[in-house]
Amino acid sequence: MHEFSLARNIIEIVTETALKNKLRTIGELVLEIGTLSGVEVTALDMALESLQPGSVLEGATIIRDIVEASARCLECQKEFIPDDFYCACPHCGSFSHEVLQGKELRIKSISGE
Amino acid sequence: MCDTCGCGSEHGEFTITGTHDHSHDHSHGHSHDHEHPHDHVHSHDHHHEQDDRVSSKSVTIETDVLSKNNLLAERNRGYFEAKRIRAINLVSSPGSGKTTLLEKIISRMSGSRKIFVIEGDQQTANDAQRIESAGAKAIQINTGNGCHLDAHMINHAVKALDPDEGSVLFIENVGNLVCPALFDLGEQMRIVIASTTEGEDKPLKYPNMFQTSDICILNKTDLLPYLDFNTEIFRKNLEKVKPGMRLLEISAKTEEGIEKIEELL
Repeated sequence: MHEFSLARNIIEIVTETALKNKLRTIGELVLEIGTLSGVEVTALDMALESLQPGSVLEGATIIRDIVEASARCLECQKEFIPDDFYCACPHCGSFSHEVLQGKELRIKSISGE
Repeated sequence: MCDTCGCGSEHGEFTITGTHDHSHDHSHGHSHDHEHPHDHVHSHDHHHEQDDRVSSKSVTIETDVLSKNNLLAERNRGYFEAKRIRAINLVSSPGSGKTTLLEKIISRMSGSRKIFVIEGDQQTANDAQRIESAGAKAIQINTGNGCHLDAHMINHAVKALDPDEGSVLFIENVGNLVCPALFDLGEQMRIVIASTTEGEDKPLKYPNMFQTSDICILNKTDLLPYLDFNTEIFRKNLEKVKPGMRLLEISAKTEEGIEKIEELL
């Protein structure tokens, strides 16, 4: 459900950027979403779809770059791909790790004219 | 028009109602029309407009989607620091006992520390009324269709509530273990509350919320003799999600263990 407010934030930031750069229409928006960002991608899609008409993003193609998570074990220092926040290190079994990437929730770029 | 956040832009709808019947209807109009003047783009027949034509260009933004929320959260945090206000964000699922716990803390600490409360719920001012009856000044934010509080709402609520210098400010978030996890409010401490009636696997089911919290409270320990809840399994699950996280076992009803929370304030 918070995807709706995220979609609003996206449109707000994109609208400001478009105005600043004198873009009248936006053809493409690129988002970067990590698998551990806490965002349900289909819910975000739906929210954006419902907010696009009448906004600066009307008719724009939205591209989602999904960032796969990676983590470093704080015990054995080895890197691995976590499938969730509480996944154990496959090398030593420890639950202590730091997430290196996968929490991204960013607007990368827009293009338009 | 808000001078802090310039919220002439759309930011959803929420209402703040407080102790002095201060009603702050914060619904922003959706006036998009000035943002996309498409109408004159199509008049290509005039030669002198050729210069005005723009070709497609790409703009790098590289901005966090939550950047505006995070900026406002830092602003709130600065305000709390300057006024030496201890701001605590309480998150949990509905019915875990947040309001009862606050009622008890307020009555126990009356006389020693001034407490203010921001109550977040989708509808009703019931919780703010309960807090007021317990003896603290409270303000209610109704999020309407929203599922969480954000830094913008807190910014407005704090202005209306005007907590004293050196006081404790509890922000009781909307009962929801998913959405509030992403939204920094400017708090100094986030406390997640689970209760013994909810099952030991709550930390595993909602890892984001437990990961982003500083302290976990396990409430309703007075019911343990009547339930199959195993505190050790809960503790192990919590340890998987956030190794080293402090767990406080309490009963808001019998007040057992509440002093451990008071020490944090």
